[in-house]
Amino acid sequence: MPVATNHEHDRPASILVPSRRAPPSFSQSLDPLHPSTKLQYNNYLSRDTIISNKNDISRNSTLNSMDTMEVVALNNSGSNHTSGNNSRTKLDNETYEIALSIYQNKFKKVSFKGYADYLGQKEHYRILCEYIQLLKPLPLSLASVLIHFSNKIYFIAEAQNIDRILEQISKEWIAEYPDTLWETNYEIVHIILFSILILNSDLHNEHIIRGKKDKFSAQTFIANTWYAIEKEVKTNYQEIDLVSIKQQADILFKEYYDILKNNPLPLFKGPRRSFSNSRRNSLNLSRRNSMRSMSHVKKMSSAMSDCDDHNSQTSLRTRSQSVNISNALSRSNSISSKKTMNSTFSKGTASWKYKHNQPLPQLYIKQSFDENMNRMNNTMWLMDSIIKINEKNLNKMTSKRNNNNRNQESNGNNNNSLNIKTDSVNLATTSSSSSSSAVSAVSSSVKSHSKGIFNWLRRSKGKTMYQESGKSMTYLDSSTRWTNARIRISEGRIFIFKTNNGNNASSKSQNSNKTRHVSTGTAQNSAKTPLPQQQKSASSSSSNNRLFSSGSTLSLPLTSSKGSHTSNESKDSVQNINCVVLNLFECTASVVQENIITGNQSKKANFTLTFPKNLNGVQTTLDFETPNFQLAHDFVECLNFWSGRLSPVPVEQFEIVSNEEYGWSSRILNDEHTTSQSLNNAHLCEWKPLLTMELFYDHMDEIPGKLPLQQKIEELKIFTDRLSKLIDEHNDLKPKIISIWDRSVNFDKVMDNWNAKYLFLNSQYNKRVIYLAALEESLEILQERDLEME
Amino acid sequence: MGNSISKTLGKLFGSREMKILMLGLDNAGKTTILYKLKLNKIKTSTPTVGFNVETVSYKNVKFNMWDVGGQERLRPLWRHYFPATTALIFVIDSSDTERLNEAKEELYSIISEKEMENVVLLVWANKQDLKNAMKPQEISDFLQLSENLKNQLWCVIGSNALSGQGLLEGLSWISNNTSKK
Repeated sequence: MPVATNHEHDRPASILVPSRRAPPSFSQSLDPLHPSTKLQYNNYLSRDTIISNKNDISRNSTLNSMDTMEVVALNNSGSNHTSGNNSRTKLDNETYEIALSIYQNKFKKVSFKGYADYLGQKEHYRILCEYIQLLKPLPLSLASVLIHFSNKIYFIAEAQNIDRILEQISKEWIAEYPDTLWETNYEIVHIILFSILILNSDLHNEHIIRGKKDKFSAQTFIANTWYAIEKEVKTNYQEIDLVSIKQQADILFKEYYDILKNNPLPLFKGPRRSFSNSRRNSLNLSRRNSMRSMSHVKKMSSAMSDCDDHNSQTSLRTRSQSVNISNALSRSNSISSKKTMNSTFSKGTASWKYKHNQPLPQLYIKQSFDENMNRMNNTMWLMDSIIKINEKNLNKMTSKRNNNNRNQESNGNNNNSLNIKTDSVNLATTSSSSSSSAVSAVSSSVKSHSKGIFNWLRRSKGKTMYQESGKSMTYLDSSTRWTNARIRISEGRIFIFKTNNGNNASSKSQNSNKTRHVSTGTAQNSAKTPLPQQQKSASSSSSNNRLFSSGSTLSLPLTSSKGSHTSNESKDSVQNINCVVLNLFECTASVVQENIITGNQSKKANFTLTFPKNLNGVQTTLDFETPNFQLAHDFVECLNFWSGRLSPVPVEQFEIVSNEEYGWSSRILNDEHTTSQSLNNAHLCEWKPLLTMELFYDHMDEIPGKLPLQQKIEELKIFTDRLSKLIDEHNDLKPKIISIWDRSVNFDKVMDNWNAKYLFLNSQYNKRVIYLAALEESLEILQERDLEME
Repeated sequence: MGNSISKTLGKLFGSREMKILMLGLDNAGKTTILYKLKLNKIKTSTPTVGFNVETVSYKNVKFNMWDVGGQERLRPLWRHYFPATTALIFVIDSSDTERLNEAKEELYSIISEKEMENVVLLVWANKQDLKNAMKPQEISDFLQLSENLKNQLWCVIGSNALSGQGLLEGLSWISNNTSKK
């Protein structure tokens, strides 16, 4: 098709409506106000909607029967493709097909919930145009237009997409009703539609926090809408006399308000839904309202009520026809985040057993060497022996339930020995399966949070949540009772098993030689297990699996135990919890005797494991005792290796740019003329580290910053270098700060800020240096091993 | 159940509520951020036709986030909400250097409204995971915030909406800097 034809058509269109300010995107396209175009549109569209099932043939024949010029015009509206005629028609047919399939709720690329966002995207403008054609005829009342539209489509979308959809609707509406108060100013209609939609959110969205403001009153709604219209008319010199129509418009807006006040815009529930009464009501409503509001319009089209009637009938039919369950299931990538959210929430209500049969999520990127190393006991990859744990720690974790919101997993099984013996079997299965289903594990985290909060609320009476904080000095405290526990550190988690004799263990470690290194590897361990027991464990795996296969908190089984199948998890039997699993995100471990040298020449050694502060500012520290220094050292290495491997590097915290004043901005430090007066009046902010992701590692649905070992080491190197530079810079500031602020009343504040930042930098630096050292050592071990293999 | 939780939380801590408007060009990542933050939302209610509005509960603070977008002519409609706003979040696609200017204009057209005088401004330099992403410092230089914003407290934080990095930092920054109001 020659391009000239196209131009020929464009010209009369723009001449016809010379006063209209055409936006750039619209100027090349077909003007919908062109009367002949409108006629043609309606003509073929109404036919198409009715015989939509045969649309392929019908549409083509419709097109063919049309006047050539009109076809070109239709095809070119809004599109910049000026290639050959054939391709253009083909492209256009595709566009139309998509629009139609969205209209019929058959479009599979995105879920029906994403339709509105899809249509609103810039690059889908053509589809949007076609879609709105399918909605025609539009009701006269603008409130009804929105009701009509939200009946057809799940209409929750991004503001910008809503904007584009409503703009297009308003253009079409103006084309249909050029004789209303608004004449041909689609911009004003656009504003009104958008304003009504804001009103709907404001009146009916429960999420909205108002502060001092109340919900929109009719007056504020009218004033707000009118303000925007006036501004639009003023800035763009629209040729419309607002003063003369103000009164009529106010009545109209009041009516829109009343409709919305009592009837929230209906939310389309998706295909395959029988008609609820509410939907039918709203359909009726849309018809009624459009008829009512006609009186407020200068002239009206008499065909209006007929059209509306016919329209709702068609829509009824289309909807009942288009039943496609896979529609609801298929979703595009663009809204995949929504999907995960939905699915995780739905799983939160799933049965306890279901959740607990999931394998533990894999917290790190498993590399080829991990396969072997994970099975070698007494390496940085795996530590598994019976050592002593501070009885207080153990009791706190097992009997006081979830005290720090961390991921804890428990089992109420009475048979301790069975637990321990079968553990290696179970672990083997979970670790192999976890790699394949790392995603599923993640899902349990969200609900664990909500449950966690709930549980925590019930438990906390007064101060309990503030009680446990800071590092304990248990190793110096002779009254500390140590109890045996099997500690297994594997794949980023610490498993703490209460042993049989755990309850009556005393501080004397008379059986340490007996219990040390029960197992030297999972293979051996399971080999030791008597065969009948192993079979027994397999047969009763449903109960044993819970022990390891849950990513949820300890609180879950306990809080949900009311009347559930886990009878022995009621309050009386909390003593029976004998396994706790914690992940090692952002933890640090250290050997106590490396820091504190006492005169006591005991062979025994202690190490501590410190978890990061949780949301309530509570920090948990676990204390352990080993029969000798080497074992403590090995445990610490292993713990730090895994912590370092899991924990992402918190770069965000250090890249923040802000104009907050802590006392050392260049403005203050470099200004020679600061007076003590200005310093005293300076608005100082309190420096505190921003809360980071580490608070939520237990509740997240995906773990950020997973990196292979070597990359992690590189990243940590860069980060620690940077931190040490930052610390140096921060130190260099100190003398200057002191000299400037010395004379100010704010001196203490500034120094507090300086200290706070210094401590933070330092603690971060120390932690990352420990991680780095542990990871580097693990790399050396790997290299040595490789050499040996050769 | 959701209500009882928030009530109890309120009793324990004395809760704070703040209204936050979230802005940014399309494709900056606003929706992803909203959905990411939903993680800790305290109640799920029936969705409402129209805009994405989310309540995020974070520590003792309830954040109410509106996705307020749209072109120039619609902006006066949002004005109704400006006076009640405690913070404005502006999301930037740090990898889309071509549209940075557009983003800058958008930001200033809102922040220079009279009602916005007392808000704190958080800029999320989003999509930091992409290789060509500009660093927060570069973004802040480009936006010339220190030259142009005299009244408002502002802050640029690098973020990755997919992993959630930077999001909590941002919210806690807002929470830290609005406590006195």
